[in-house]
Amino acid sequence: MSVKRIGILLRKEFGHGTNSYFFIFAVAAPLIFTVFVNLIFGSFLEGKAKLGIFDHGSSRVVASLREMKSIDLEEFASEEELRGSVERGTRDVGIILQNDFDSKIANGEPTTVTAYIWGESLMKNRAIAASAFMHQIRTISGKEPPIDITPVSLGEKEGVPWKDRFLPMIVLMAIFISGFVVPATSLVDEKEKGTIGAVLTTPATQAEFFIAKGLMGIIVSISMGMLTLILNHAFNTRLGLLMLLLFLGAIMASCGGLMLAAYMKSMASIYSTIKGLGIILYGPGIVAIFPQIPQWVGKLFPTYYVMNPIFEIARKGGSWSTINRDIYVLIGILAVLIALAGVITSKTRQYET
Amino acid sequence: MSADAIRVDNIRFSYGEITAVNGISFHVEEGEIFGFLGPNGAGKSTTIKMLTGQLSPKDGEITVLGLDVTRESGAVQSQIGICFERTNLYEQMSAIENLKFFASLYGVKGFDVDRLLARVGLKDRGSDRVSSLSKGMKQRLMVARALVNESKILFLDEPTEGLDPTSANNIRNVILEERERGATVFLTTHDMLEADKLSDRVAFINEGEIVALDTPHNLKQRYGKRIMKAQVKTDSGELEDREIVMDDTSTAKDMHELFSNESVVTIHSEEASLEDIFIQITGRGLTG
Repeated sequence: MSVKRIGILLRKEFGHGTNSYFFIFAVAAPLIFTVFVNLIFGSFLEGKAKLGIFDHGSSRVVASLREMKSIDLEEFASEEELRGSVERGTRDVGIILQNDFDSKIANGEPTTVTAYIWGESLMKNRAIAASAFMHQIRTISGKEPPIDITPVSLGEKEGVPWKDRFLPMIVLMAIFISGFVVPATSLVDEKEKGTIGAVLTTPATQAEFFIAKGLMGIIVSISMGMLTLILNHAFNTRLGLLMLLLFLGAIMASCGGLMLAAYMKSMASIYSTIKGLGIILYGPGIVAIFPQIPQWVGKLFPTYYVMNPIFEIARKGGSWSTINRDIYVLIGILAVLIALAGVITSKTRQYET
Repeated sequence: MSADAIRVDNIRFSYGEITAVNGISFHVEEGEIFGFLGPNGAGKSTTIKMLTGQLSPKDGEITVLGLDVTRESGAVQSQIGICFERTNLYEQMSAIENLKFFASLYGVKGFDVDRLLARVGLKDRGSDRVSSLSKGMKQRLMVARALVNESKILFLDEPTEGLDPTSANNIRNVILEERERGATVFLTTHDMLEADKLSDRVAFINEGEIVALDTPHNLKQRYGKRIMKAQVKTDSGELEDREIVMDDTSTAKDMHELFSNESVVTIHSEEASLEDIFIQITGRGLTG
């Protein structure tokens, strides 16, 4: 196997495969969907986490929070005003501080804090507001204070904003439309036009040919996944883990696309098959949109193990310990897929050239 | 001509129940132009695919440049050039990009794309997208692509099909130049005159079997009959054709009678064509 030839084939893919209708569709679709969802359910310019505070005394925490650039702080004159503001969604989180709050945390006494949470606020904003608050307390007291936060959810009962519900679907689209469709259609196009025969009768091997196509799918898939997460303000924490998941998801998409294309002979047949496979690829995303559907249903789909950990990290602040089981399952699925893809694609030559 | 460039021993291939190639054997010597002739569906393309490592024979052995094609297809493919029957160029790329891409896959150093384009008469169209080229131009580019690696063996499947007479002649000259360079040429064509003119030897394949293999001259000697074709004017002033078989015991007598009894307008001798011979052997035409 020649790395140089893989590079030549890959360069050809990017130089001349990127002006195909399917490539443009694969890149444009998740972006258009992102814009659509953001226009309806959110905003691209959605800025800082909005924290409201009602302070019975004159806590130093409030003064410190005012200095923080990562949050948008508003102080309220009464508990009712604060509650009303959170209920209307003008504040993501509202905190009530008692008049002896500073002395209690300085003495290390157990303290209870009531936090109003707007049900439709982004999880990211809730996490930022809460961590900013705790950080200031730690800074002032110099230690981990024994604080018990009592959350009170206000507004939408389900508590998950529509924008967040669509995020898994958008991420799946970004990874799988590009990672799946781009190499699959590129391979079928080469079969249809007979160019695969021309390439495979040069020193380029079948393995090099498929690896180049797979790599193109992986690169486009990761790029689109990253871009989509960035546009949805979800590429902001545990970037290493997110990149690993995007990489594994891209491999899954690319392998799946090439396996399918190995059996297809025309663009019409692959197009209709991809449409039919949509439910398998995007099933977990659909389940996530509708909380009424039992969420375990999503686990039946292989793409769940890409989508769920990304969502856990990006929206719930998940870490390796909360997502490692999904990643192990994903690696298992990939091992099977790669083995199958190797067998299937090695048979293609006999059928197609 | 010396060693064998290609040696085929009793190969078979079938697509399901349909036998495409049924136990054919032949050899092609180094530096030879070998014409492989037969009608559509006779097994020509399947044979080329087996010779170039695209298909593995179900039975038999193929040796190309001393290498077993089935086991060492990669090594074989690095030393051959193929012009496919079906146009299979990258249509969105320019002619130059197509040639450079394939040259890079072969690892050709110092590749002179302009010279190659000039050889096939496409020097001025090198930067044009392939999709904008005419069918004939694409065909010439296909031939050029087969030449990028200056291969030891050229497999040309209908290389002049769809070309105007001038372009076809240009390609025939390229084939002869390649032979001069030392390349072996495996040529399939429907054009019997072309095969006759270019080939050192020809093989006729019909229904997956080789039915004749020799030099065009020997085949004509063995199977063909020379005839004298005359056009005579009848008493009513109409023109009629007369044929006299040459090399026959009655030839001299028939000639004498023709000139004595008829008013001869034109007369010329005619050799049997390869197509005539093919029809004689197989009972079917080459275009069928």
